[in-house]
Amino acid sequence: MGLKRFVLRRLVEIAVIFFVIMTVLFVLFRLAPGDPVSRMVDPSMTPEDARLLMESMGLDQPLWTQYLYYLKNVATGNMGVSFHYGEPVIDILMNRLPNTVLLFTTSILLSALLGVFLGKIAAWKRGQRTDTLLTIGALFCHTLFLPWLALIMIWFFAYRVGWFPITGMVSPDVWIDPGAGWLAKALDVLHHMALPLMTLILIHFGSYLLVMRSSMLDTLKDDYIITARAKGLEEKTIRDHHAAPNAALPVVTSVGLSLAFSINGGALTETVFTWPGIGRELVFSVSHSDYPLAQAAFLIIAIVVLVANLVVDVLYAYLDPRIRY
Amino acid sequence: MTDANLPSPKTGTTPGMAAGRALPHWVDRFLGGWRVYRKNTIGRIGMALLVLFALMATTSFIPQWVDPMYHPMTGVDPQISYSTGPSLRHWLGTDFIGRDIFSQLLAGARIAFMVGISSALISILFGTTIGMVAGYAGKHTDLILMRLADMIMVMPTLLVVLLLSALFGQLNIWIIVLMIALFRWPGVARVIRSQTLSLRHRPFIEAARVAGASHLRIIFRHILPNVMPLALLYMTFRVTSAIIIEAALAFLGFGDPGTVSWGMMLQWVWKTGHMFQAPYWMLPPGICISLITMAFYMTGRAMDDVLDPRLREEETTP
Amino acid sequence: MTPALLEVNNLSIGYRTAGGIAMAVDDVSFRVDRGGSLGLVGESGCGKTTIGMALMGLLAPNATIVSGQARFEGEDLIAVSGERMRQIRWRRISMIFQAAMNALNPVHRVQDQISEAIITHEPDLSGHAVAHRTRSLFDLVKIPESRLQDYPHQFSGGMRQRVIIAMALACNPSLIIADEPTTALDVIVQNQILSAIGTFQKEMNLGMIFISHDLAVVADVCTHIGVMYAGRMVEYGSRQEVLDCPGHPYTRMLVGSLLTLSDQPADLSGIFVTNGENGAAATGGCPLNLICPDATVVCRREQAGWVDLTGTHRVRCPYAGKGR
Repeated sequence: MGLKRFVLRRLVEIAVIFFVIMTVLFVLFRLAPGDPVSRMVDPSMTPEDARLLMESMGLDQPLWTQYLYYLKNVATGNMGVSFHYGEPVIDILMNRLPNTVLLFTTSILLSALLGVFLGKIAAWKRGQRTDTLLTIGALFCHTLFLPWLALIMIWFFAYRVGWFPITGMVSPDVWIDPGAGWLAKALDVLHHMALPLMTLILIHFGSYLLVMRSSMLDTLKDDYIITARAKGLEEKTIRDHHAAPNAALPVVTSVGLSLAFSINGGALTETVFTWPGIGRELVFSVSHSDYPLAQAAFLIIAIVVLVANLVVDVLYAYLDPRIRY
Repeated sequence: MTDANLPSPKTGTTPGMAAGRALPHWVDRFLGGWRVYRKNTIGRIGMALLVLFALMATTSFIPQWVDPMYHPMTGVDPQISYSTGPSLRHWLGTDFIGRDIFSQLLAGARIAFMVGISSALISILFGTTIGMVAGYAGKHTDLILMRLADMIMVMPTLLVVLLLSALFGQLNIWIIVLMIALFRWPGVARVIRSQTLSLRHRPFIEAARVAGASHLRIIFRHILPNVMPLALLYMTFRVTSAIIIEAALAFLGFGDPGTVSWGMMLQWVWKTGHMFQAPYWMLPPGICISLITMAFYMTGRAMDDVLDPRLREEETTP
Repeated sequence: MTPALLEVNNLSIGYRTAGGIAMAVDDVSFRVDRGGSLGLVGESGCGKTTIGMALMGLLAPNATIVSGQARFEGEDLIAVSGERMRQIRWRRISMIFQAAMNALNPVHRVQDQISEAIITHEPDLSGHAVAHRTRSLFDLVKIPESRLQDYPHQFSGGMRQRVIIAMALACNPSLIIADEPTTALDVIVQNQILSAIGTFQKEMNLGMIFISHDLAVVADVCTHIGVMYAGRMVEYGSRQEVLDCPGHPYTRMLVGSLLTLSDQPADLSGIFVTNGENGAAATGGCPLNLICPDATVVCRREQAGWVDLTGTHRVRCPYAGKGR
């Protein structure tokens, strides 16, 4: 079976899971105490607007027709109007999605790379001081409470030292200035991203380091390492070229398994740093009873997690030549 | 895993089906494990921290008994109505309405233990039962249960509970505990299932089946004792995740308003804008959450070290 | 006599354990000539692989060379620096590993694994020349060039063994150590591999140490045979001498169990299962004294010295050449 067929199969699986999630959400929204209509339509709307919106969602129809309307609306991206913003939620969220993806992917990629790199060194220096320091450091960072770390980061790096902006993603003056080129804008975003990124990396790299370390220790006992030594290769080549690529495979698996955990952390980080992403929008909408926004944000986050899982699986197949789907 | 019904080499119990005779073996195994555990530095540190937190939780009733103004929730210092730094009167200072931070910290330890342990217990109960049933029954039951587990596993628990609290309003602490447990069983179930699969065709299970034991009896009398150590190990990891999720939920403002948890304390610091002025208020709850997670995590890792060589050793014996 | 390619004298290797040093190789001496091949035979754990690893400088960290020397092309392999040893590895002495082991790295293409050795030891070679040599190595072991880009798991056991042989020949070494190269292969493939190894060894005039637990295999490819038991070499001589008139009781058992293809069932009466004695020589007497049919009180008391049967055939048994 080729990679294409594997991806196709996984896409079907994702569609099924997504369908189940959608259905569960629909049921929950009707089960919850109170009037379901008040959760779909902003109570402060004019009666005329409210009627139009209700019709487009089939809210005056019997329950299972509502369900069909709901499926159709989700498929076409019509997920209602935000109570707070007064705009279609899909527009708001599509605007936020790139920000979330940017922070999420960079943080996972960088923390995995850092974990692999340091884990490799820890295993190589097994039992020495470097190893002890790295392992304890990883354990320590891994168990830090994320929102608290975020607050500390802001307090220290933004407030006390003043190296980074306290919150947000851009400084308005840079973006209003017509003279500012794309480089200035990119640097501005990077400047804002530094703290949330550092927070996420600090929280996540530890577990990858521990996985890499133990997997590297196993790999170093493998026969092909003896072959590599016998071939007279430099120790560094053996470590980086023969042991590390094999040892990194379980790290990829562990990245996949911790995706849900990472997205939790992402939402917390976005909230504390007021990074305009989907996670923050979800937290915001929940605290402001903006139901359409909450529902849509949750669905989009679910898609992000599912697709990220697929990407990890494909990456694994790419890195391990023995796996051919 | 060894057969719980085989005689233990140390105590020399006679083989038998009765649970009463399996018990000494259990105790023996536990003591054996404890002897190995005690030598583990990480495990010792974790255990020491846990004892410290347990002490905090048990003494949490004392401050309010000394003076009602030390009540973590309702006690307000009559002379202070704003946040002050540490003093003799308030060892760690007061929060924005003059409540004592130290007694809040003690109360937080109680909540953390309560949330962590009860939620972990429930999710272990679910996970172990579902894992054993899936592994033992096989076929469609296995497939459906494991698919369900996969589906729940990819869901970010915090955000799910968040959404539910949007729909159902303010959540009671026990509902939060239950929610966390409901979404944290799949990992346990997977491990227990594979362990059950490897046990299913062992001679002593086959023998019990031939002897006419019912499925339920086989699962609970013969499989359960053998997957128990693994379940206990996973419990320590579930405790950490439950504590973290509850704290995060409280931090975001969706905790039980009737409790004082460390996450709640952090939320007050953050929401009242004291994070820049009051490090004495911001640091303690965060340190406590991080340390208690680390303590449970270290305990778990040490337990893993205790269990692991046995697993390997017993896997090789036919 | 021409100088030997490799001359090992009184080599003793031990493993550090909680209870002191356990001897895995005890006072072993042998020589390998250019174009000659020595087969080291013995049961598993008798120390033969440890000798191979010691010659490559690849002993486990808890192993220690107690005494002895190994003169190879004018250098003592035991005494050279780590960096010099690294240069000697593969360039001068290479190794054929058992294919059933994970000797090839699963995530790299076989071409890269072969050319890597060439590039390491001959850094001046152009990329083109390296590719050319890799291709001709594949020709040599009769694997189609089209498979150079494949990964190890895509080869069958026999093919993988050929790849390993090609890899061992990559830098034109003068000595090859083959460690159980045919152990996990079926008999037909085993034969092909053996004849291939034999051919290269003769054509390229290489010295070879062939390590195996199977006397039949060793008898096929080697000019000399050294029989090992519990860390000691108990018999050493040319192929003909050892096979035709085995002097040591243990060798006689091995040879006896070898000739089972005749009409007469082999005489297995003298063969016992040893109790898994792992290298550490029994205290005092001959390690074989418990299972040797001819053991006497003397055997239980003291180690036997070497008895020269001919100029090249030595046996470590006081009764060799007498009786029988």
